[in-house]
Amino acid sequence: MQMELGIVRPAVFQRRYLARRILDITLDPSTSIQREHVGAVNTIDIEEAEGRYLLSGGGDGNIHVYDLEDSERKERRIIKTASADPRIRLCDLKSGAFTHSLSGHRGTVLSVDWSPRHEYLLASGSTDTTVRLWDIRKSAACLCSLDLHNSNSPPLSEANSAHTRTVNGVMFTPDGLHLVTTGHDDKMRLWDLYTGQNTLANYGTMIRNQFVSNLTPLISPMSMGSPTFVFHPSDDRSILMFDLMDGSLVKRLTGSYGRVTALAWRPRTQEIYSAGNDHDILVWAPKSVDHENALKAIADQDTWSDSD
Amino acid sequence: MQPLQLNLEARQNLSDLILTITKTGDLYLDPEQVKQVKSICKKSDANVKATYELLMIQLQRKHAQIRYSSTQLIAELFQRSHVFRELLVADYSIFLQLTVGIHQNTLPPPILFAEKTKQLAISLTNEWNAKYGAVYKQIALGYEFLRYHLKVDFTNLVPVTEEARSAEQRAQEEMSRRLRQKRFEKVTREIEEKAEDIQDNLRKMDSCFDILVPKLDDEAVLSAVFNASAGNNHGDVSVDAEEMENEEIEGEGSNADSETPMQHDPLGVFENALGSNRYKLTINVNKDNPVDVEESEENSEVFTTLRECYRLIVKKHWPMVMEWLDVLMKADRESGERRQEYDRLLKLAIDLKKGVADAKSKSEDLGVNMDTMYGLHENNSDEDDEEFEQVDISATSADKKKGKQPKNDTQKLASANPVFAMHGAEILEDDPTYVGGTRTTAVRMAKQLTTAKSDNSSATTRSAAYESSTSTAEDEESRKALLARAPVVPWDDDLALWDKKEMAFNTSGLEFSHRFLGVGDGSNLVSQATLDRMKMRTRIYNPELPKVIKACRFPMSNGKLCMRRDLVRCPYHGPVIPRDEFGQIQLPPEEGGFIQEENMLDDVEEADLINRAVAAASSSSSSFGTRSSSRLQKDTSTWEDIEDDVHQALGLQKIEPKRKRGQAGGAASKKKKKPASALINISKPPDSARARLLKHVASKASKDSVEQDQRGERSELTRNSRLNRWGS
Repeated sequence: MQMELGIVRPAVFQRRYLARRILDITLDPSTSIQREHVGAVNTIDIEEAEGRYLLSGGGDGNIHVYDLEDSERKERRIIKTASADPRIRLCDLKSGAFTHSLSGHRGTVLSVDWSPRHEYLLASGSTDTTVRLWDIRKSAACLCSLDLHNSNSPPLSEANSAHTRTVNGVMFTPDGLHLVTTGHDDKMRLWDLYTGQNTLANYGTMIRNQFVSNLTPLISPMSMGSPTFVFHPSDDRSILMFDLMDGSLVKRLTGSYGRVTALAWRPRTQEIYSAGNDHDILVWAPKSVDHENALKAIADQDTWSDSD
Repeated sequence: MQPLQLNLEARQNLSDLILTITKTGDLYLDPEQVKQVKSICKKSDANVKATYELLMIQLQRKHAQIRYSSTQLIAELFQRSHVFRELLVADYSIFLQLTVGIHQNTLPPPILFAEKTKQLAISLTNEWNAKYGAVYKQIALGYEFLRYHLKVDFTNLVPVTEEARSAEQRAQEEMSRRLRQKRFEKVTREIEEKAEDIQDNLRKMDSCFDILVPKLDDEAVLSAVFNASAGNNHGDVSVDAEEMENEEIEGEGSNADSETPMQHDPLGVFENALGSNRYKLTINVNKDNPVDVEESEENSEVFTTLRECYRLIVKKHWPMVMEWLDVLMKADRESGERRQEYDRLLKLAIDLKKGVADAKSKSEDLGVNMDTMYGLHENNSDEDDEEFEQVDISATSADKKKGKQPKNDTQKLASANPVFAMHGAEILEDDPTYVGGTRTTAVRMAKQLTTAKSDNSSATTRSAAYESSTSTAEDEESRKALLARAPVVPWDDDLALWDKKEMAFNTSGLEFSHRFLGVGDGSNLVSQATLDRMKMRTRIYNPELPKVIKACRFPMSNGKLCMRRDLVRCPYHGPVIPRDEFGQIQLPPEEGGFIQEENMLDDVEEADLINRAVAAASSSSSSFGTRSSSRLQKDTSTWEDIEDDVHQALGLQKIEPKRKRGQAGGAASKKKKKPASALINISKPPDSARARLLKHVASKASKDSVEQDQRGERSELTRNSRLNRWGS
């Protein structure tokens, strides 16, 4: 009614529409990405300027660049590097030299993320079960180590730990107010960055996360007044979709035949790309109505025979 | 989608049905039960959902047979229900895990069914991918996964769903139809080309026949034929004119049940050596050579042509025409113009076949066949004439007496006792080819001969016999007496030697010692000891086991007798001792064991026993029938009875507390049998060689013996070490 009268503000309309589309997301039957990797796909990302090119790095040592608009594909080959160093090194992309070295972790750092709100704020998760926040401007860079139990111990206390086991994923929310972390204790936690406290959002027991590799949850774009969703790849070859704030499980996306290793969000079309260790990249898209109608016409009808 | 309301009753039904379907373990589902499941599912989507859940539970059972049946049922429902498809597709990777064993899952035993399940799931994935792959991405992904990661070969799969099967059938039919069409067209072309050739050939052969064989409609030829053959068959024989065209009378005989009556001409009768005109004639046409056309110098050209044509017909035209007919028969009947064309071709082919067959048989009648392909010189048909030899009459008559007949004689023998006297039989007797008349005379002659001979020979033999009998009469007497008491033994090697006093060996004189008979002492005789041994008879001893092992027959508490058959000792009732029909001991037992065991029964039991024995004794005196019936009942007593008895005696609980004593016979039949299921018991370890060995090796006795050995060895070692310690 409001829509018909045109009194819904465009922003609200957009938000609602977006939320609905995200809720509708499912495995896209029509588009598929050609299988190029001959090893597991470890990470994927979509470039931000155009939202058009998809990069994927595979265990076979190749990086593939896909053009999502047409099926053209370029290939570059680099040598994959891995580090088991307990320090975080910052590289200057212009000079290619190490500029900073942040020390404080006592285990391998598996995951880092920059805050979208403060450009000097960095979060890192490590095998020593801690999640640390860094201010790279300072020499004594570590701001605090997040604590699971919200105890009153000092922020850099040795006793603080964010998870009970290895932390392999940290992710800022798009507004930079919260931090999502996930670890091998099969838990995902949401931290309030103003207070540095655990929000105690309970995401249930469905998550399976046991592999020592970077596994970053994906957070859908935030907007006021509509729920934000977080997509967490689970080891049982599915992607779990939670409501970010109240932690309820919204949907379980199944269909991948390999462990999902990375997720990427394509903002323009609200699509999710998932990389699996079955060498495949899958496209998850909201159901498009006209397309559905055409396809489902065959499959939809029941074919009970009269004799039954 | 309508709200999912669970109808409890339907759900209960469903779960029962699915359990029974999946637990039968049969290779094929019971169509009746499947239909029931479908009809329940058809009612509402909630039922479909319930079915899906139940099936997934069954699919997770660790038994391949259950999984196989579940997969089959899933396949049935998948192609029916949209809701079911949605549900299954969401869990398709789980489905593949459980049926194909992807993601490091292994399928449970038995292996045979695991393999079957896997194949079925792969085929299903293949077919579903073809049909629903575009809509359900998960199936397509699963298909890709199987193809890419598991390297599953999707070619040459047996179609499993109905649609795929019917599609395949249609494709096959289409293919065979096309093949038929192709062959039909080919044959059409061939007929157009070759029909002319064949007809030419046939015409050629016909003209050859015209030259060789006289036609009946030609009066002159006909009369010539009859005049020519008047010498031996002068008669008005009523044979079909058309038959006469190809066939000629070859011989005749007199027979009582023939068909063609003679009509007149006593002269003919006379000349044909027929006793009377009242005989009936059968005209036997010689099947081997019905047309009496000889190949000669004049017509050899014609025969050569005929042979060529014949060869062409047999080798080429006949198979070709048959093939045409075959193809034409199988070809599709179409309507319209094609139909007319088809009919024309078929008619042409049939005509050709008839023509070719005629020509073939005609030329075979003329003696042209594949054996006589090369003309006169290699033809052995005229050797028949040389088979006739000069033989004296007595010899032939003797032959005839034995039932032999000359080769060229196709007639049946005349009846032994002719009713009418033969005219001119004396003359005919001289003719060696004549049989009918000579038979009786031959018999007579033979009689005369034997009687004449018997005058001489029988006299001599008799006299000889007399002489021998007189000379050996005494021997005969003693021989008879000896035979009367001589033992009769079956033949064996010793009989060859039994009367030998000595036996020579190695008569060649080259070698003294023999490999088997031993070294001679220069006398070339087998030693006495060896000879004695050779005279011995081999006998194989087979000890006879007691055939019937007696039953224990201890009276049990249920009124029956113990059925156990043991040689010496019944494990429950002590030593087996002779007992009467009621279990009473006939002889006192030698050992105390039995009595002790009996004493263990309590007093009530004993009283009961005695009462029953008394009752049985009284009933046995009154009627035999009841006793026999009780014996019958006794036969049906089972192990459980014995066990009950023993348990009772030992104060233990009965195994089956429900059963009442005294109704044991009925209770056994009442026992419910579990419904037979073809499920293989997988909890039982397979009977492998290892398991069998382990049973022996790991048994306590063998372990003990090994341990003992080791202990012995160890003690010996210590003893030895003590021994070796010097000087201490």
